[in-house]
Amino acid sequence: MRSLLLSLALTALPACRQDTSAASLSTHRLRFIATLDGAAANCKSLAAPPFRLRDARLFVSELRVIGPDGETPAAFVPDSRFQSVEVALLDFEDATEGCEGDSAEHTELVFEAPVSSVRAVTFTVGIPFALNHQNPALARAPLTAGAMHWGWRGGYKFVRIEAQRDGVEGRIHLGSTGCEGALHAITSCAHPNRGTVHLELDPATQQVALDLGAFFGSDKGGDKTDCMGEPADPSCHAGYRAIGAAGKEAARQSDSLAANTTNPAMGASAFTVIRRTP
Amino acid sequence: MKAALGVMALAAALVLIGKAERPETGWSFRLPPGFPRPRVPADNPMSSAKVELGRRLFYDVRLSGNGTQSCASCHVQSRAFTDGLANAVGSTGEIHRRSSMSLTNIGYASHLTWANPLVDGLEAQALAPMFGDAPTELGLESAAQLEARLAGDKTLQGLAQEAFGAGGLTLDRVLKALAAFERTLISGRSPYDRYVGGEVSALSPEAQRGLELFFSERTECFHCHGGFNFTDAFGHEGAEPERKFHNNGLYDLGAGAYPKRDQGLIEHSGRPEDMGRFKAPTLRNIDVTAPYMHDGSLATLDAVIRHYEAGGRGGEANPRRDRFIRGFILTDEERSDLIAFLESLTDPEFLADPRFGAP
Ligand code: HEC
Ligand code: HEC
Repeated sequence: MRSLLLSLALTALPACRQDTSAASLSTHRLRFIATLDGAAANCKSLAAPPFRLRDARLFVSELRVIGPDGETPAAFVPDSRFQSVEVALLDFEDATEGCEGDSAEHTELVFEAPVSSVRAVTFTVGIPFALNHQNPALARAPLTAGAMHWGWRGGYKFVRIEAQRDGVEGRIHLGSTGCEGALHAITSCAHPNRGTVHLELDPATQQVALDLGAFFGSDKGGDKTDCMGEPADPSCHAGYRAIGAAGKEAARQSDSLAANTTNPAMGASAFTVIRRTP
Repeated sequence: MKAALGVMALAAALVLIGKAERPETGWSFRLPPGFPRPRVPADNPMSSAKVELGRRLFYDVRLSGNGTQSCASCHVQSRAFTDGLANAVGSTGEIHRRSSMSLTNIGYASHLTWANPLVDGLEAQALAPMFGDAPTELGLESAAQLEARLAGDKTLQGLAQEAFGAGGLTLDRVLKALAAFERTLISGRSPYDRYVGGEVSALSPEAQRGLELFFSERTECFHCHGGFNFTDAFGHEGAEPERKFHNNGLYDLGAGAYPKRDQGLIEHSGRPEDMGRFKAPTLRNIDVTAPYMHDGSLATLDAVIRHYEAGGRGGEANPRRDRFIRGFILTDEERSDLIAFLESLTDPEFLADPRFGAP
């Protein structure tokens, strides 16, 4: 059943140079690690000032991999909780110390692709439009109702990073905004706000570091950082740069964002490749 | 005389829109005279078992993460399902930037909450207080958490079986049952309604004069608070709703700006003309829902009327206020007449009806 779903998903994706027959599929694991100032970070290590972690979760989708023979779409291996074929939830919080979610974490993407080895990956931070605006009460994991659903916007938070920095609470919620229609029947969104991440790496020896600090920027003003997804809101600028959505947004509209973006054409500032620790 | 004409026109309008209630097996809305039937989604038909399930869930503190709050914590029947606070307080103590809203006749609302054009149905709306985190209201973490809590409750599971058939009490069914209960929160037996129904003595002479003021071009109240539910944000079976919002001049911090913490519809649309636009709430049972406005910033009906007399905070200089917010002058007697009329919209039966109370 599962492999049927997978091959369906793969054949439904745009044609590519790879042979997508189920026979040549192999499973790969791409490991992520949360970091702050270059050091591994989690709820326990970030439990005291100046940086107290509260939440760190994000959705990824539209995974493509580059193997020895070129680029091909990949499919997540569904589990009952964090991954469906199309969407995976990365979860770096375990509800200990200042964190508020629940104990389960998910820091490794498990996917199948018709390549023997991986040289690079490209993925979207966010959820495709067709899946993003469904009724979460009827959706399957990882899109079930809960902390990652954005009840009043009619979609999901693509990114939910929350922390207390220097005693000031900060919430970074990124996702599609300016949507029209009705909560579970959104017809369009003025600001899709999906990020694109491209990383050259070999998942067998390397992993992806997610810099939590990148979502907050350097402005530690007295005011609390409360980014509710508006790309024009200065407290959201760092977040959209972090996921590789800032350049797109700047190109899309002429708000103050371009001026505030040091390098509009750059990639996703929160994601870097580091050596895989055993 | 003019008032009597106005009332007759209104009564005629009610008869026109009022449709004979469709027989639905085992279910009747028991509509007040002249009331239209609320819109009911095709995938969530009414039934007594579902409404009873919804009522129990509405009062059930297991719907909050830490078990301290239910919907009824902020929506109290005796206050027409508001809480008497300027700013609602969630289960973790977080303070909401907005005031809890009345659920009077909520099944007729065209769209829900103070300034969100996307919230078109009660089923979808209930997700926001349950799982929302800006601010935390009920503070649930996941659907699975709630479903597990309710799984062992024989009464609720029995009602779910009766209302929906096999399959247990899923989140989707919780939302549907809550919505079905909310659709029964119908209020239409106030002194004003009796007056419209022909019982002239139901309104005092003061209230009758106030009614005339309310429906006059002088105060303009009826433009936004018109119709049988005293709001233009309504729809019902046979009437496709429009989603309307207005700026009633509550703030003008220069160029019509509202305080940053809450600017209304513009937060969704990004359009400058939507600055300060909010839904005009129903005025039924308004006497028991103080304090008033989206941020509870006006304490009494007297303060509300003085606000409109002044033409809003910025007065004429406010470029964003609605064209029907123009300011007018009332004598003290006229002001208390208008208040007497607003008080006549209180429906004591609704505020005490055991069908809407805690199980
Ligand atoms: C912490 C207090 C609180 C709790 C608990 C709460 N609400 Fe509310 N309710 C509010 C506030 C505040 C608003 C206005 C929200 C806004 O405009 O952003 C509101 C608005 C509403 C509305 C829209 C009313 C209108 O006229 O548009 C409905 C319907 C509603 N709540 C139903 C519920 C249900 C059902 C529950 C339980 C699942 C619930 N509420 C729990 C505070 C609360
Ligand atoms: C242009 C449309 C408009 C007109 C005209 C208008 N209102 Fe309102 N009214 C509103 C809106 C919109 C709100 C909510 C505003 C907010 O919360 O910021 C409101 C709020 C109220 C409230 C508070 C409701 C609550 O639940 O807190 C009362 C009472 C009220 N109006 C009475 C009146 C009276 C009396 C008049 C006539 C003197 C009047 N209104 C004229 C649009 C209007």
